[in-house]
Amino acid sequence: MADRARPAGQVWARRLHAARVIGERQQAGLVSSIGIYVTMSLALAAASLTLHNTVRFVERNAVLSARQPLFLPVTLIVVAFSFILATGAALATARERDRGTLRVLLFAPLDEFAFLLGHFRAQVATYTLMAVFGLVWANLATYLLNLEFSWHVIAAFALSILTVSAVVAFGLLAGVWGGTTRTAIVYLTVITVALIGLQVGGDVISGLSREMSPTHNDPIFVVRDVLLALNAIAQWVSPYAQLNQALDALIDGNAGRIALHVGATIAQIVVFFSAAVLVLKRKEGR
Amino acid sequence: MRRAHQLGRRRMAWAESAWLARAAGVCLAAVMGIAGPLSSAQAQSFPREQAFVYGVTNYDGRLYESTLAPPSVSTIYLLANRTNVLAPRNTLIYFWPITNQYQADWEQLNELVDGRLEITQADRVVRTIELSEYVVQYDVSSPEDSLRMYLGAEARTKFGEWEAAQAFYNIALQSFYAAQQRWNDQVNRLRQQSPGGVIPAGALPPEPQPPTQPTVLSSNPARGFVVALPVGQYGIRVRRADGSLQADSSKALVIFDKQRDGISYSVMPQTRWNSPETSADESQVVYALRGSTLYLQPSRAGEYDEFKYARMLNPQDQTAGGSQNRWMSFESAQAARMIVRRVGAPATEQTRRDFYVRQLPGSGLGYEVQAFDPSSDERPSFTGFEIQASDEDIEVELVDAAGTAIPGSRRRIVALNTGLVWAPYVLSLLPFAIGLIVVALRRRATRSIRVTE
Repeated sequence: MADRARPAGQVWARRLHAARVIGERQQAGLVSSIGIYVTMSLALAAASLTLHNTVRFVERNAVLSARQPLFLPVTLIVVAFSFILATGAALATARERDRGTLRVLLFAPLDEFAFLLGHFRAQVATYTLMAVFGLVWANLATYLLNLEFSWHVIAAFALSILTVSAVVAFGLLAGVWGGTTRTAIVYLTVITVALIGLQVGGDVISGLSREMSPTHNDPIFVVRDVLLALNAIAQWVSPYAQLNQALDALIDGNAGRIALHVGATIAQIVVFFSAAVLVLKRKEGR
Repeated sequence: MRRAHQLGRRRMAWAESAWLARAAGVCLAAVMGIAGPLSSAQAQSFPREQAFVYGVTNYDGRLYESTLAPPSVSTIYLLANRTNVLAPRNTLIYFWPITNQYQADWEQLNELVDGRLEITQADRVVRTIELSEYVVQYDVSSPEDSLRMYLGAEARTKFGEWEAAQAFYNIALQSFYAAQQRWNDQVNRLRQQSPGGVIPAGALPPEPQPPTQPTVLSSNPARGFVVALPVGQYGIRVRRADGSLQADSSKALVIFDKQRDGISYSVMPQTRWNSPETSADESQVVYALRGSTLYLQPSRAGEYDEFKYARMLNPQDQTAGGSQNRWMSFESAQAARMIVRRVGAPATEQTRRDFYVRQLPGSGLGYEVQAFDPSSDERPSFTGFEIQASDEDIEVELVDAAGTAIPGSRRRIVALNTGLVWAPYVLSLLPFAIGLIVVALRRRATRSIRVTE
């Protein structure tokens, strides 16, 4: 109430200060715990497996033509890490509600926007730090395996910060929307798995149907058409689909398409975050 | 070439040369001799129904293909700004369960529907096209450069010229056979008259030479609506001569264009020369084993929307889905030279060469790829550019006769260091190691705080 009497500039300064305090505190907790490093190591190990697969293909077939063998490992790192961070964001908000501490917090000089922005900032800053590990790993792997060095990999990690931001914003939305910790995690997991499943399933089924003889009656064509139709909508909701398309555009050197997908990801961040603020305001009766 | 012959096998009745026709006749007779009794014992007839169809003669980026758009097809796809033909026909169609597609029984009924084609956009007629006579011709020695579709009176003239050339060739061929027979008789006579059957040098008459076979192929003259439109979405329908609309003639027409031109490479490693890998565009890097030998075969290529391209070739094709782009390789790129650049070394030039694959003797599997030797090898197994994958990264690029680089032909060839495949796994432990250090430092700091307190 007191904020209404203050000039807008002061209100925003207080909000951002509060968000920074929350963010720094949470980030310090994240960075000083072993869990985040274990997650990064596991993500890099999974990425190493895909690189191993590429090398094995060359060993067995003597030649491979590929656009950028590091894009799949980078995508794996982003998917694994963003999900962990989004879960952390959902837990951080849902737990405050579960414990009843959220209402107390919001009586302090802190509003919903600053509370969520603080958590958002912490998760995104943590990923940015971890992306440095990813970048170092990718460049060392490039050097050791004699892969083609490409600035596209650096750009991919830069783009992935936006993707992770969108997924974290969605994690915050799931956290406040779910009400309880368990429901929040269920929402986040089901929706994330559904979006990734649609994307991967669409690609796999399309690839399979391309290999089949043209037949009107094969049910795989119906499944493919349904998945393609769903994907046409889901791609604008899924940050992973936007990253995938932005990486393709990056290699094609198509600035227009890169701008489109970067813009779409920023829009996702704004929409998910704004929705989280609105839902929290409504649930807390303010 | 394969497409050229497919074209000939389809609805267009390509006229073949006399000796080819005779050879084909012998083969056909042999096949029928075997297949005849089988086919009569297992003959199966599928119910036919009369239907209006569009016979589509479409340019595919290289040559003309023919396909069918039966009533079950709602959309026809064609390339932009190219001459394509939609032939309105009444025919008998039947469902062919092997491919689950409708086929036309042209022999039973093949009736041109007289009328005009109305092209619409937003329900407004934007263009009307009358029926026109057309003929497609090309020279088999350079199909892409010589491919032409002739229309109207010019079509009749060109077909007449082609017929005359064929007739002239057939007469010349008959004369040649007769001359050859006379020459054989003369040689036999000389041999009988010569002592010991050895014909003295200088007594042998010159052997007759066969006439040069025409290399131009032609379709038979036919009538249809010649469509050449810019990119866009249109509607089509046939207005009959009496002013009524032809049933089943209303369809959507999607005109699309290629996204870009390029050069694709078929990359054959020496150890697996018959399992090539395709490098479709410049963004694709070729990874190879160190010290391996690669053979690169360049082709002209175009990047198209995969779904539209597949539906253009066959409107009943259900396999294409989505809207991703795909490179389609056409004829072999004619560039004879390739510039090879290695890091820290001056650029070298490679020429296109012929290679011969020799099976190794013995019961074990094996072969070796050698430069083609016309004196000992029957014919080349393949033609291409030979590249040695070394430690240095390689960049290759085709150049034309004037030495100008051919756009889209640049490729990077990188030899992988497969011996260090374990290294990324070890590197993945780096964050964990740093995490352990961070946690240990934090614990130490916490302990020191407690001591201070």
